[in-house]
Amino acid sequence: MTELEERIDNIRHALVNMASMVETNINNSLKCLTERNKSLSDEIFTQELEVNKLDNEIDTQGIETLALFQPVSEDLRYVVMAMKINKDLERIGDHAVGITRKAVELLEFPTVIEYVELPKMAFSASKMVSDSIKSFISGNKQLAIDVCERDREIDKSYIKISEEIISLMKNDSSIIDGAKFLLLILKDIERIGDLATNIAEDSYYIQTGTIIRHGNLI
Amino acid sequence: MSKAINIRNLSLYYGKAKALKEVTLDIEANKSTAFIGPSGCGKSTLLRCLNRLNDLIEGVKIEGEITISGTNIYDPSIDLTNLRRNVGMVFQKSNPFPLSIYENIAYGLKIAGIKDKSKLDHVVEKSLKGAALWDEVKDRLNESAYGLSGGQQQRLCIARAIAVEPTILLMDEPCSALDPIATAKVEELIKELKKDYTIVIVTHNMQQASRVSDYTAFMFLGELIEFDETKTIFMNPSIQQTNDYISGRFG
Repeated sequence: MTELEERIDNIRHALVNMASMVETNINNSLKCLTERNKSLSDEIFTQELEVNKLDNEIDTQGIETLALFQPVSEDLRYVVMAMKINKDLERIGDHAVGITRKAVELLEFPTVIEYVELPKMAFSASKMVSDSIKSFISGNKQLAIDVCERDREIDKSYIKISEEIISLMKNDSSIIDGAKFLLLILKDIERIGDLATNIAEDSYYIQTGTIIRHGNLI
Repeated sequence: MSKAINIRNLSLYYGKAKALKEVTLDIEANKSTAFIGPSGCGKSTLLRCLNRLNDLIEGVKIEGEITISGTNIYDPSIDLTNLRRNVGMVFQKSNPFPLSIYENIAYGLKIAGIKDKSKLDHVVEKSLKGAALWDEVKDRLNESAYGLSGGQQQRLCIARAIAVEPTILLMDEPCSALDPIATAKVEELIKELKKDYTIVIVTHNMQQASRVSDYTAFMFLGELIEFDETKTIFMNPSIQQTNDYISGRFG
């Protein structure tokens, strides 16, 4: 293995590690919300510090690799896209923390809606994150396209559930204080879907050299 | 885009060894084309075919055709002096004549019969300016060319090549003996020169190929493996072998 290959391998491992932490945080943040239980929040905040540390490490490794090895072709795409994926994962981690903070705030209020559709949407968004990372690791182009297409369902769910919450707020103004946190959580989940889509698009680009962002699906 | 050079089914043998294998390639006019590939792949041999420098090597046999401006340069009626005036060459190691800076440039013109001093002065100045060397040597034109630095000597050789107004400039690893500053100057010069000349450059330096060339040809064991725009070759080549070579996985 050349030193460049070793460095790329190190970046890959760091990203996989980071993705695993972020996925755990998403799932734990949803438990905080749906089980109305804040016992996992400290673990989430501690894990987030590790995610941020990895974000800096991956950026540093990427910049060093570009400066010292001047990779080209697929190696170049890999390093540059890994740095972008790193940024998207870090933002997903921030959204997981955001969900946790708001879930803790929500404990002060009675339950606004039954958690049926929202956990489904959250599970789909979380699955998009894990599948986008899978496509990145395995180079599975079809899986990347599949993730991009699933984002439309997330967007539809976002509109449907937020309309439902707004309608409840209109009927009963006493729930507004709690419901506003729920709307923000819904936005966090929708953004996680968007960021997972970015990762899938970047993964597709690594494999093919073709940009499919902004709906230019092949 | 007009093609300056058309290479068709070109094969070259050193004795029984086939060093070039049916190479077919069109080189764009007023663009810079790089030949890359591991040692022994035939890139310098192909470059030297473009002004028939391989003719000087005993036992060389060439098949196929190279057309420049509509003329097959391997036609027996071709005047080699005219061909090499039209297709200039800059070598890996700078090779100034043991003459003054001025005489180095004027030499080719004098050989061509130009004796008019004002005409010679004009061409010397124009050529040195064209090679981005004039400002550095204008006050010492009569000093020996050997007093110049390596980078200046290489640019002097470029000035000498363009003094006879070629249309094509061949460069065989022109920066391999130069330091990074001198290399940067020659690379900048290549970008300027291609406005007036078609440049074909052989380089082992992948970054140099990606910086200075518009098109890149990757060669391996005498075969042309892939030829495309340089950005395609370095961003997304079609052939795995090209990808492996430019990524440093072999060669």
